[in-house]
Amino acid sequence: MESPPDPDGPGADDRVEKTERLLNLVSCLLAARTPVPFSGIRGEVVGYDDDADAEAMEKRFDRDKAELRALGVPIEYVAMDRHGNSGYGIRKDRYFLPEISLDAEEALVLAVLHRMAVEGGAALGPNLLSALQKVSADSPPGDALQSSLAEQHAFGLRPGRGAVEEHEALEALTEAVLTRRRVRFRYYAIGPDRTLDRDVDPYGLGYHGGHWYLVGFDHLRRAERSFRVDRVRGRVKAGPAGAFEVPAGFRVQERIGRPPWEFEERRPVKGRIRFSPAIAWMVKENLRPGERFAEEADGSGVLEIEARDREALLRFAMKHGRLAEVAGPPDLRREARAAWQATLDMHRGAPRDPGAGGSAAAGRGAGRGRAP
Amino acid sequence: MAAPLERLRRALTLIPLLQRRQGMRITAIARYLGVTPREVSEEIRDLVMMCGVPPYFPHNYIGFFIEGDRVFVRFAEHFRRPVRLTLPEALSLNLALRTLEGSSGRAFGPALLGLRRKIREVLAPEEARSLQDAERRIVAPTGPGAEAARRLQVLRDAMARTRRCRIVYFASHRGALTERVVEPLGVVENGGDWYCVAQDSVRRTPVPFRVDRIRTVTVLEDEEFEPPPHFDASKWRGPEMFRPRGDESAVRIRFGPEVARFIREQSDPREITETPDGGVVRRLRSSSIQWVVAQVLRHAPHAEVLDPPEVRAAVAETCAAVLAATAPGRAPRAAGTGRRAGREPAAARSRAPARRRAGR
Repeated sequence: MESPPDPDGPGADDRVEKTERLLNLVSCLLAARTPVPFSGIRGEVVGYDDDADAEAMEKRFDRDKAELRALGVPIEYVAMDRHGNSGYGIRKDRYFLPEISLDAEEALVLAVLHRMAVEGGAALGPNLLSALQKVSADSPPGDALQSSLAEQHAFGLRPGRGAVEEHEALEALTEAVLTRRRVRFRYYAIGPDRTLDRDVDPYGLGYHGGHWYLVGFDHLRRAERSFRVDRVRGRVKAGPAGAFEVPAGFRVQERIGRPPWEFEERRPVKGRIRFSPAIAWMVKENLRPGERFAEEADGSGVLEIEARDREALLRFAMKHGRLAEVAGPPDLRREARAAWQATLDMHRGAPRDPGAGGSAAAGRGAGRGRAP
Repeated sequence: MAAPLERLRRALTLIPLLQRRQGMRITAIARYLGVTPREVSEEIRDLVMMCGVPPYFPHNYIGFFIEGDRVFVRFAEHFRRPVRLTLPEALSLNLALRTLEGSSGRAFGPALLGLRRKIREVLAPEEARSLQDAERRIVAPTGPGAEAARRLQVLRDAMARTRRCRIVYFASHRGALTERVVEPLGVVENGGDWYCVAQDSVRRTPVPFRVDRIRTVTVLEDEEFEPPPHFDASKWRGPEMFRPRGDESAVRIRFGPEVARFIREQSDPREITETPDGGVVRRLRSSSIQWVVAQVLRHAPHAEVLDPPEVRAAVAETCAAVLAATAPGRAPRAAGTGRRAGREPAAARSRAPARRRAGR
């Protein structure tokens, strides 16, 4: 068989392809009942039977062992087993995946994730797919009932633009969080609309509202910050392990999921927003700690929130259109009216040419009062 | 062809699988491995040529046999089981489960917990400790949304048993609660939100309903329905969710420089044109006037509909209505004061019949 040159083995004989050599090596060690001395590999196993010199052969073996270990195949040297044999072996209890029994719902979740990893989310990387294959090895997806149920479910897991980059960043940050490595990355901060190099001690990762966030100590700002992982640009570079300590009592779940009006550093305003009965129940179901909601007899209700960013709060109220109204305080209510008035003025008459620049709206009359 | 290590990883998964399920179909193997059937055949052909143990007599080679579209394996008893999960694999799966957990609240709760525990149990001790550490530091809080998760659970159950459901739903295009009977066909997660794709029992076309906007679900135990033969929820994932239905009109919205960066980030770049003042114009197609109005209002006062005129008029009308309802001198209908000044807003009036139905 013709084989391409082994890219990471300049001294190696290219006669045998790498996949074949590794599989033969694993096969030989798994099938053997006693430890196999290197002499039983060199010159015997296909892929180790060429005329490379002893040093090159050992290097090849070391590299193969390391690569196999990364795949979960532990090749160990046994100094002297109970029959007096020395050599290499694979301990089956460390190699073989234990049996995993799944209930129907667990198997369904895996089947749906599996479908997603294969179809939409190859971006989620080979690790996820391989993990799903292994975990479902004892109940592989495919029996008719389960697969038709699985087809009724779809998990999006952020398909589309940037999914590959985001997933790579997420895997790198996971590793950095676990081993406490300081990380550097380019980050697009949407507030100031700027991309800067950031240098962070990563404390934890959290998922909220369709996005993953990294929370950590930001050496640029000298304070704790959170970063949306899909706004990381390019590769995450990690330093040595054990570079920092996570502050005692840090809980990542307390640091994510803050609404936009909490992000400014300004003096907080206590805003009150009244929601009509069509949506008040939804607001009530999604209250966050510290938010107060007073329900009225007709099903409407007033949400009381502390906001540091008044504009963000106003936009939150306005996006509900007629179904929400800023109830107070009076100055916030006036600001809301001004924003409504500006939007009304902008939509009277014919639109101005956006190419012309500038801002104030022009014309009046035509659009007003016409029913949609 | 895949990288050598990736092919090895697949082979180490495939061989034990085939030993347990002799005669598996090539198409099923392809699905399982996430490759094409052609790649499976090629890979098996390569494996036939390659693998065995010294002294390489015929029975020392792993033998693959393909009969029709079925695959059998022999002389591979030493590959009894797949390779243990590696830590990166376990972490990757954990991330996916966390993502799911973060968006579904508790709808899949027990299964997600069970899977996380089972993954930890099959890891080597040292790696299990790392995963346990990850469980503490990589999280998806499931705070609010417990009610929506419960409704999702009810809908999934009705879906599995093909029962119609009566739902009271906040229809954003009408700005009101509406009631209808639907046939739940699938559930889809999209960017953190769950949707139930259901067929209106009158109009017979599948429509996505956002689960957190469904106020109540009543399973109609006596009304079993016939599901369509080939429903595939994954067709509703991502941008497919808002597939064109044919009744859309072209919309152009101008966003000011104050908010343009958010629009650039969220939109398909092909929809975006930069304007000289640092803002953007976004072109899109939508069949819902109210959806477009909401897009404008959530960026107010930095967004303007340019086309079509009827959507401009709808924005203006909403603004005028709110301005009238909140005119100075008109007391805010705030809680606590007991005052109930002002007329009922138009939307609330039109909603009243739906509310009566909801209370039934």
